[in-house]
Amino acid sequence: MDTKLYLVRLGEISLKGLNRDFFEKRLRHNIKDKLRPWNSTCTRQKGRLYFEIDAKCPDEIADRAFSTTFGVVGFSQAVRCEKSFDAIVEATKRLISSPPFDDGTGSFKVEASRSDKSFPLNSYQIACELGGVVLDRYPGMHVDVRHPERILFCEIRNDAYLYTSLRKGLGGLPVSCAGKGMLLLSGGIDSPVAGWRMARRGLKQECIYFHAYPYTSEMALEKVKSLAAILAPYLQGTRLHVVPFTDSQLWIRDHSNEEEHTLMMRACMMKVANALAEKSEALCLVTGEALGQVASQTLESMAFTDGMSERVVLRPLVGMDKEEIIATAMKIGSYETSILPYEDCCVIFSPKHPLVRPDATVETDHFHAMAIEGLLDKAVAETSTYDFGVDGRILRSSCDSEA
Amino acid sequence: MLHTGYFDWAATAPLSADASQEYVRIAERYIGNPSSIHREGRIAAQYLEQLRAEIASCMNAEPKSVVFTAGGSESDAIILNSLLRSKAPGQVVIPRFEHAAVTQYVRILEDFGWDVRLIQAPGGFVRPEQIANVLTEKTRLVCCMFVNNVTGTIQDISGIASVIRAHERNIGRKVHFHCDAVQALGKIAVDVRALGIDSAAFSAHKFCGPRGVGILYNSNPAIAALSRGGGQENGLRPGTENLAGIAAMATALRSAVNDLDIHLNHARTIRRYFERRFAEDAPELVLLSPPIDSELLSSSYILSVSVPGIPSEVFTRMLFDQGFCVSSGSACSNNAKQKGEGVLQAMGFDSRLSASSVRISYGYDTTLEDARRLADAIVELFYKHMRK
Repeated sequence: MDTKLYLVRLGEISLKGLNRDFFEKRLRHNIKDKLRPWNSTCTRQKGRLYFEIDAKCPDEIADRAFSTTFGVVGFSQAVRCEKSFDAIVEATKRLISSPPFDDGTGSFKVEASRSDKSFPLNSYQIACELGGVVLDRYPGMHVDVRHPERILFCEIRNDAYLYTSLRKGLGGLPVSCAGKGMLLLSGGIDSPVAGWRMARRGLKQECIYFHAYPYTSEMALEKVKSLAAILAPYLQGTRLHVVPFTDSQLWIRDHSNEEEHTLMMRACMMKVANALAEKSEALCLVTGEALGQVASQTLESMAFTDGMSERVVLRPLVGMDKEEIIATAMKIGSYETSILPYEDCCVIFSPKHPLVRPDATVETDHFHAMAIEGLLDKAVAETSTYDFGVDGRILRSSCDSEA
Repeated sequence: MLHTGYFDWAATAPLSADASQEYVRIAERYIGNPSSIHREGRIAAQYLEQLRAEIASCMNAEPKSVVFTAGGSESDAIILNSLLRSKAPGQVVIPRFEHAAVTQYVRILEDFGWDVRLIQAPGGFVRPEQIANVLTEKTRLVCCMFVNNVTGTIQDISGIASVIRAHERNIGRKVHFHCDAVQALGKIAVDVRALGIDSAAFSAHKFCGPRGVGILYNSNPAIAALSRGGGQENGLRPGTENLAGIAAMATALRSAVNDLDIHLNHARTIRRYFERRFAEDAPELVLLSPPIDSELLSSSYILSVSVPGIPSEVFTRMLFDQGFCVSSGSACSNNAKQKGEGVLQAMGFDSRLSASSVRISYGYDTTLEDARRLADAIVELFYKHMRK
């Protein structure tokens, strides 16, 4: 099988102690998941993983696999050769016959590193020699070590590795290293960012969306499915739980004070999310709340909703500014979908003057007085699911199996 | 074919079987371009002029004043675009309740230096006195739709024309009066000369003709097109004429005009039925269209009703799930003000009513039984979802 080689740099993982194996194995697994159906093999050397992938795998698939997997700090398509100077020179000549060196003009530098100290040349000597090879081939080029237009990298390890591009990865920890959580995914800007940030810390997540049709439209559901599809590669695939929430919303509207509607709705969401977390064996909930962003995101409101959850509620955006959140949403690619004009909550359930400083004890009593548990159980039982693969495509849905 | 559950005729009416057949017949029969000088071209041109005369007679217009277009919006655009050529912009009067094909020009006209005077339409009516009060020496164009597309209110077009003509005599210069009559033709009698207008826009698919075909009635020779081409339609609408579409439109219009009174009586019966049902079974519903038997004129084919407490988009979805197509005027959103809601607010309806409005519109083959089923669904859904 013809293969192409990718060199993957590890960051935080390589600093781990005795459990480094656990993190590395997970990372290898996560990357391989994204390279299917193409065959790939992975070997490791200190601080690096080397993936040999079926040469037929398109570059963009491989690039996407490495650039959307947490735990990867950087990656490069590389060539490997025997650890002899002659072999390195020959490999260099082949490599510089293609972009970005093949236009033969402008500046460059050679960056060499040598972890095998038995190699006869030191890093500086390697760089000088290979620089000479480039200049012999392209006399019109010149060396600029400060601001080069292109770089030739050479690493001497168990073998010699040469490459000309170094792509940045997302860093963080491989997804699933830190357990599983349930992300409360609305159609807005914040929750996808919250899920992305927790995935970056290795948290596997399933998503929960509360759908109040016909008060929210089918377009709003489609929008959330699109957001789940955008998140799926980062989450190493995910399951979207769509909770039918209309009856609960109407019950809240008719059995609580108007200013409490949002609080009671959040409390119900916590209850339902906990029940789904139980089924999915998830240990925490993740929300996109940021302190003070809206009325339901005050400290008092958060304290009340926390009291409604048996699981820890993680709020990775709690101290973030909206501009920072938007910048991350743009980076992830969720922003354009999030701002589509399909509301995730109908105006008739949003009070004009919501309670912003609730007393948790009083509100907990009011919540129990609503006697809504039966409806919430029904909502959990009638929840439908959509499973998204690592490529963001829907693999299966409970609606299909019912049909 | 009956169109059960379809109550959105004001958005588009189903194509009639006769019009459909005529389209195919003419498309197959007349293969030439009416601008070509060969035999096939000449007979196509002759037929086109025959259709023009026939359509003109349906609105008491001179055939030379009938311009075939791609629809109502394009017909409006030709008139409004004409202003953009003016080197000395003046004043334009536009009621706020106009269709977007007109109101979307406000910004453009202002950008070109025109003073656009927007006027309210209390209760859905623009009164001639309102127009008289805003006319100035600089007024060059007045727009006013004939039948409002959201509530169906019928405007006193000839009354407005009278004040404009009187003003013309005072200032000694022409003031063009354009009427978007898209919801009128084929539903109520339209006599362009009796109305005293200079131009009017019509659209075939509102009276069971094909989509993508319309008419501009224009008697003002000063109107000049912005677009350029082969000079068709007196230079006002360049482009090869859609002969088959125009023929199908003529067929649909002939039928609509011939049976106008029969269809109108049928529509009145349905309208009275809705009004009675809602008054008896759901008095909390608020009719935004004037009662059909009141002194205020409104189209028998359009009924706008507000369902308090339920956003119009939500109620539209609920009805759709029950098998009915109606139109919503606004979005279920805090900030997305859509056109229907804006139109209702221009009529003075408060935001609570306008945000909950749905438009029911129907046509000649809507049955009373179908209307009864829709009324049942509206009443049931309203009481099921209204706040307890």
